[in-house]
This record gives sequence, C-alpha cells and structure tokens, in this order.
Amino acid sequence: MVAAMRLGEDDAHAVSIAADIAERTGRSVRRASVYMTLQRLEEKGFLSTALGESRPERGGKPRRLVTPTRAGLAAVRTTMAGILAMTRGVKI
Amino acid sequence: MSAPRWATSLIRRLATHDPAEADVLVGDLEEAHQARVDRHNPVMAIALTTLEALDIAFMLVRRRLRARAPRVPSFSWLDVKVGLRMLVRYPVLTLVGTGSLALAIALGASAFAFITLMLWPRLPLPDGDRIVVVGFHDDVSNQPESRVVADFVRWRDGTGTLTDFAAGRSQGRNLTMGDGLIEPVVVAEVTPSAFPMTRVSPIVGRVLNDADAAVAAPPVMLLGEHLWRERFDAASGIVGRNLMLGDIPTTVIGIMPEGYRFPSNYEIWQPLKLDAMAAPRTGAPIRMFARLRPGVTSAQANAELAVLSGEAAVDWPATHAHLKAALGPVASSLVRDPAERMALASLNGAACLLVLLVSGNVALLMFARAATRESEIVVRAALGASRARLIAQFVAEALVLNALAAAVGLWLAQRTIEWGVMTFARVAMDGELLPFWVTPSLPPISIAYGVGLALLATTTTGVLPAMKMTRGVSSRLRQTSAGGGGLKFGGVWTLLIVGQIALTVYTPSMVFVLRRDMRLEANERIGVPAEQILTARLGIGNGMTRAQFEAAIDRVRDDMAAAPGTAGVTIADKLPLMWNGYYRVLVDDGGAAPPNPDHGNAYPINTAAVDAGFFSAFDAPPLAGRLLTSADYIGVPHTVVVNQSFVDRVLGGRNPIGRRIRYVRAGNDGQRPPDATVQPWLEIVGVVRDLAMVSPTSPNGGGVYLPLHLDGLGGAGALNSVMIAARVSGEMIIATNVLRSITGNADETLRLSDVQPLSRVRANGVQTLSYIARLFSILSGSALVLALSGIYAVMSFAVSRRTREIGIRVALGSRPSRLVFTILWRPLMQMAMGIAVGGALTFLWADDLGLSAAFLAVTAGYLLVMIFVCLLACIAPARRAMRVDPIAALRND
Repeated sequence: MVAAMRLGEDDAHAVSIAADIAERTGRSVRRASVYMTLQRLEEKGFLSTALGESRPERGGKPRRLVTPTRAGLAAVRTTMAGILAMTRGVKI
Repeated sequence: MSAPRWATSLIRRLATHDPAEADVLVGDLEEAHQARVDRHNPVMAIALTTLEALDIAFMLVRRRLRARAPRVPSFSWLDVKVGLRMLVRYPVLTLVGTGSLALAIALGASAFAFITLMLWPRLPLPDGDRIVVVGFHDDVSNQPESRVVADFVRWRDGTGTLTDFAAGRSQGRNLTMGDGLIEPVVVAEVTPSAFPMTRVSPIVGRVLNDADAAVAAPPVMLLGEHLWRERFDAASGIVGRNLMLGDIPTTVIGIMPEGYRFPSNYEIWQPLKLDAMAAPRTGAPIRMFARLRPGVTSAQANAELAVLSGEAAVDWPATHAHLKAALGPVASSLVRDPAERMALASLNGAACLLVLLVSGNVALLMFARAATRESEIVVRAALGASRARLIAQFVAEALVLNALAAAVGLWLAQRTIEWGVMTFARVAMDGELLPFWVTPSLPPISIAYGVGLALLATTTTGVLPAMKMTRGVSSRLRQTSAGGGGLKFGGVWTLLIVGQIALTVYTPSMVFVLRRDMRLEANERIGVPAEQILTARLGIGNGMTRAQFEAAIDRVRDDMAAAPGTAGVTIADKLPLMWNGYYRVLVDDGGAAPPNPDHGNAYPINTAAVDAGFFSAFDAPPLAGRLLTSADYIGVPHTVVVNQSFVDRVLGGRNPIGRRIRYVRAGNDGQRPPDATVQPWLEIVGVVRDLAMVSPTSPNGGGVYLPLHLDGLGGAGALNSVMIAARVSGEMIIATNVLRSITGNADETLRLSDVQPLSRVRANGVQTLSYIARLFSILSGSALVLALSGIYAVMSFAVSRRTREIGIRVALGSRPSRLVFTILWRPLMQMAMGIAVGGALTFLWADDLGLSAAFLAVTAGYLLVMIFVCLLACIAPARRAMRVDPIAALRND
C-alpha cells in the first residue's frame, strides 16, 4: 500500500511496486506474491485497479495500475498510528 | 530482447479466463525481463525470467483452484424475494412441496418431543433439574428402604451439598366432590418444606406451613387447579370451606397452579405429620426430596451421602450398617426396559429417513422447476454469476419453501404432541393423570430439532438440484442455445418414483386391515347389551390388609346386587371385551387341531378367573355340562368351564366334558392359573357361548374360565385389583353414583377407577386404531400426491428437454400416437414397475393376513384407479408436446 502511494497512480503497478520494495528494503520480493497481495487488497476495497496505456518496452501490453482507495489510505493511517503508538518510548 | 516465448505462452494458457489479465501479466514479464537484460547478461536474464514465469504460473494455478473450491454461499434479500416469487409462480409445487415437507417435519419433531418426554423427562419447575430424590438401599437384603423418617429428621436442616429437604407419601382417600359425588383420590402428604423447595406459589390462598403439620392441628388441604376447575367449577369461595375427605371435614387453604402435581400426579396435598422421635428404620414409609446447593454436582452430593451413610451406620449399627443413601431423579422415565428405550430412541432415525425421503421427492420437483429455467441460468452465468452464486440462489429459494414448511410443520407437531400425550394417557394409563413432567407441549429442543430437519431438507431440496443444474453451465454457455447440455433425470430419481408408487399401492392394504379390525372390535357382541353393564376396577388401598380388601369386595358385590335396578353382579379378574391374556395349555389326550411346535405342542388360549355369578350376570347358560358352583371354589382350582371356540378350535368339536387341560404358560395380568409343576390337571365341567374374551383381530384358540381366588390360591400371587360388572336396568349415571357411594361406604380406602359401561371398554382401542388408520390414510394420500407430482415433473421435464426433437419429428410427419408413446414411455415404465412392486407386496401380505377375496377385488380396483390417475398426470405434458410448433421449435437453430 505504501509503495503504491509513493509511486503514484501513474506508475504504481506490480513490477514497479516489487522493484520499489526491493530497492528500499534491500529484500527481493516475488512478483507472484505481489500479484496475490494486490488482489487481496483490491477484494478488501483498499485498492482500485485500471488498465493503463500500451507501452513498447512491454511488448505493446498495458499495465494494471493500482490506486489506493480512501478506505486503503485510512487503513494505512490507522496502522501507522498504531505502530507509532506502540513503539513510542521503546528503544529499538 | 523479449522474454522466452514458452514462458509467455504458459502464462497466457493459464490465464484464459481473462484475456486482459493475461496481457497485463505478459506485459509485466516483458518489462521485468527488459530490466534484467539491462542489469545482467542475457543468459542470466532468461534464467531469472523463466523462474519468475514458473512462479507466476504456479500462482495462477492456485488462483484457479481457489476459484473452483466450493464456497459458503451468501444470500441477499433479493434471493429471498425471488424465492417468495417462485412460491407464487409455481403454486402446485408450493402446495405439494410445503405440504409434504410440513407433514414430515411435523412427524419428526413430534416424534422427537414424544421420545424426549418418555425417555429423558425433566421437571417443569424453577431449577427443576436441581431437585433430587434421596433414596435408600439395603445392600444385604438388596431392597430399597423407605422407612427413613429418622434419617429425614437427622438431615432435614440441610447437609453440605443438599438443602430444602422435604418428604412425602401418597394416601388413598375418598373425596366428596362439588357435585356431591364421592370419588377415590390419591392424596400427597408432604412436609410443608416441599413448597419452598419446588418454588411454586398457590394461585389462591396459601401453602402448608409448619403449624399445619403439628399433630393437633386441624386437617387442611390444598387442591390442584385441574381438580378445582373440573369438579368444583373453579368456585372462588372454596378456600376456607370444609370438604369431606374420607369421613373427616378438611379445610381447603389454597389452590395450586395448573400443571403443578408434585411429586408426580397429585391434585390434593395434605401436611405429612411425622413423628420426630421415630426410631431408625421405623415409622411410615416416605420418599425424601432435596435440592442440590448452587454449584454442587450430583457426584459431589453422592460422595457426601456416602460419608453421611457411614456416620449413620456408626450411630445406628443395628439398622444402618448396610443402608446406603444415593441420589436419584424425581422425573423418572415411564419406559425403563433398555430394549424398549433403544427401540423408542431409534424412531428418531426413522423420522430423519422420512424427512430425507420426502425432501428427495421435493428435490425432484425443484429440479424439474429449475430445468424450465435453464436459459435463465445460462444467461446469468454469461453475465458473470459464479457457480457458487447460482447455487446460493437455488438454496435461498429452497430455504424459503422449507421455512414455510417448518412453520406449518411445527404447528402441526404441537397439535400432534397434544394428541399423542392425551392418547397415551387414555390408552396406556387408563385415563389417569400423567406425571406432571409429561406435558402436551412442544419443548424448545424439539422446535430446534424441527428447524434442523428443515435445514436438512433445504440441503436436499436446494443443493442437490442446484449442483446438478449448474454442472457444466459454462460448456452449455458456449453452445448455440440453452438446453443442449444433456440434463436428465438419473436412476436415483427413477428409483424414488418407483418406490413411491409402490408405497402408494401398498399402504391402502394396511388401512384396509386397520379399518377391518376397527369394525370387528367395535361390532363385537356378547349376547347381552354391553351398554347396560356397568364396570369398574376395585383396587386395594394404601394400608389395607388382604382381609379388609376381600371383605370390602364382598360387601360392594352384595350391596350392589341388592341395589334397585341391578339384575346381576359379578367379580372377575378380566371381563368380556377386555384383553383376556395370552396362555398356553396342553390337552390330556391331545387336541384336534395340529399342535404348533412354536408353542411347545400346546394351544394358545385366553383365560379369565371369575366368581360363581359371572355367567348368570352375562346371561350365559351352559351349552353342555354345568357352570362353576360354590364347591369349585374350595381349595385349589381343579375344574374349569370353556367356551364354544375352545371346543371348536382346540378339541375339534369333540365332547369336552371330562377332558383335562394343563397350563404351560400363563399371562401376566390377573389371577395366575395353577402351576403345572405341582397342580393336577384341570377338568372341563361345562361349556358356555363365546363372551368376547379377546380382541377379534387376534383370535386365539379358545377361552377358559377358572374359579376366582382373590388371595391367589393355587397361583403365584394375590390380586391387588379386580373388575366388577353389574347389569343395570335403569339410568347408567344413577347406577354409577350408587356404585361410588357403595364403594365409599364399604371402605374409604378401597380404590375405585375405570368406572364406565362395558360398551366403552373397547372404545379407546377402537379410537387408537382409528387414529392410526387415519395416519396411514394421510401418508398414503401424501405418497400418491408425491408420486403423481413426480411423474408430472418427469413428463414436463421430458417435454421441455425434447421440444426440438418433437418439433423435428412433427415436421418430418411423425404420427401423433407414436409421438405420445415416445414421450410417455419412460413415466409409463416407472408407473408399471411401481404398481407391479406394490401389487406384489400387497398380494403377498394379503396371503399372510388371510385377507378376503373382497379385499383383493378392492385392491385390484384401486390399482386400476392408480393407473388412471397416473395417466391423468401425463395428459397435460403430453398435450403440450402435441402442440409444439415445428417452426417455433426449430427457430433457435
């Protein structure tokens, strides 16, 4: 969700999200896992998806762009607030 | 440089359900591959892309499997609305389906309620499960002990696990009712603590208190609501009035609420005046009750009682060394034999099977209805409805139907349980009040059971047709028109229809037999007007000695014989038209009929023990020999009188006088015949006409009359009750009152019950047979309706499935008769098979029961009616088939 928010609605799709996670966390992530996660988030209403334009580097195939929904943004905010509240004052 | 072609092909092949999704996945693979080519060498890029493609392919396979896995269907209000609309749109199915399921659910729920009441009764009192009986048992004599007044006094203030101790016993009394009649009643003498223990308050007046239980206290009593309403017209001023209980004026102090008959079936309560100084194991026999303290289990209370028993044994070693106390339930089951309990409990399985059978039938109808909506299903699938969603809709429709059936069925079950309990009370308990925990209402657990049966039926009527209808829906979607997917009724449906028709053919024979038995029972005559003979049972009362009982019986007989309008009085252990037991005898020189090896070469007969006035009371002079005289009543019986059936069936018409018989098996009721091992043969001294000794529906070989001995002389035990019969010439009600009065005067503790004209003796049996016959009629009718609707469903289905074929045949010039035969072939075969099986069963059974030619003729006529009705069910679909327009039928092609 956070990767999708950072990449923005024009660039957030499975390949870029997987690359962003790998770059920022230093940990590679299987794209199949990204597909499954995005599908579940969409089923829960946290994300919406739409087909983008065809691009030559993709062999003329479109991308499925993902956009966080309001519910998704609220869920991220709640989760972040929870983590901050739980970690406040804790030396990590 | 592109990603490997086989990798993109693999992904495309696995993502066929969504071409756009396949494009996205392949595009992602290409994009990632390009990035790898830029970052690594081409070989490494191909290797990594290959691994990734395999990973994505695996993910797609998992997704597919997840999509195919059955899901719990979710319902919406729209599904329910569609279900309601379907009920209105298909009224015949609604009527037949709801009616059949309601009947099955009613039978299942009421059977469950009845079985629960009989096997696992519960006290209908506040926290009734916590009330227990404290029973005592002597380990040495292996006998229960009820002389426990000293133990009650010792424990009545409570123990560590038990509280609210109470004691009680029953006493027979005669009560002068509101209409002036004196009737025998059983009084519960209880300690005043019984009322706080049961936590029930009176509706009028007050309960007993300690002052009432004082030795010198004036006599008081509480009445039950039923007795107050039925015999005192619910008189408001009854509290404070004195009623004659026996010969003692007793003040009514209160009325207990309806349904309260603690500890069993009592309607009058008096204080139990205990002797607090009674020595151990002396005094009046009592039952001890208590309530478990909160949080205490029966096991803990039993453990404490074991310790307390041990302490009592130390304190009273002479009487309590082997006496052990233990808890027991107040509400005990009326059915105690383990085999009978098992048999009764297994009826639940039969009820479930019935529901499954009926719901299978309704599923057949639902399937036929669904078949007519195949196009709708295919279109919905085309619009994106998943299989689970389609199934959910079918289940919702079935749920609506079954909910309606459950509501009707539970209402019917309530009526059935009321009838069942009342019939049981009348037939099994001779009209006596049942224990108060046997209530004629459907308990919550039975309602839950009925709802469970409805859900079971929903599974069958909803899921099965839905699974069958939605199987291969996508392949049907690809075809040019709906209906080419090969839907058809399988062998199971055929078997179901054949079984139903067979059952429909078979059940009327049972109804016929029951009705014939009913007529025989109702019409049996004894040679004198049975409605002019007053009968009653006289029983030994509490505290009566044998001498008092016999003296009271003699006095009642003499006083009744001397009463005006009485032509003859007799005392016997069994009367004509009653069940006269099942006995077996040997004949000294053998009988005429071939002896039955199953009976040990003996002859089955009936037996009654009668006094010397029996035959004159029933106007039965000797046909041969003589009647029993006073000399025959001296000492051990050695003579008998037989009836004409005995002469005809056992002796083959030979002269019976002087022949001898010996009992080898005795019945359980009444006076036992002389024991064959120690007694001589019994000589036949006379013959009388048949006096309806046993039900005409199960005739034994004949009847034998023994001299009556109240003390059981020559038999195994003394009689505790006998029947009295009096021929009266006036009004029966006057004679009834005379008998009640005479009984009360003879001995106030003598118990009088079952007072009725002899013509009423068989009424209960006849009424029960009538109920059973009616039940079979309903079942038979239901089976017929279901079978016909099944045939109709098959026909409608066949016509709707073969519309195109019919159109082509008509277009090609097929003859109408040929066409009709082609369509009717399958249901006709099912009908023929069902009738053949049912007919064969009926005729085989007819032979066993010796049914008459008239019955067989009636059955043959019924079979013809069945065939006609089945053909009737075929007419509408056949006419529809004949009207198929070839052009319209072929338009889809």
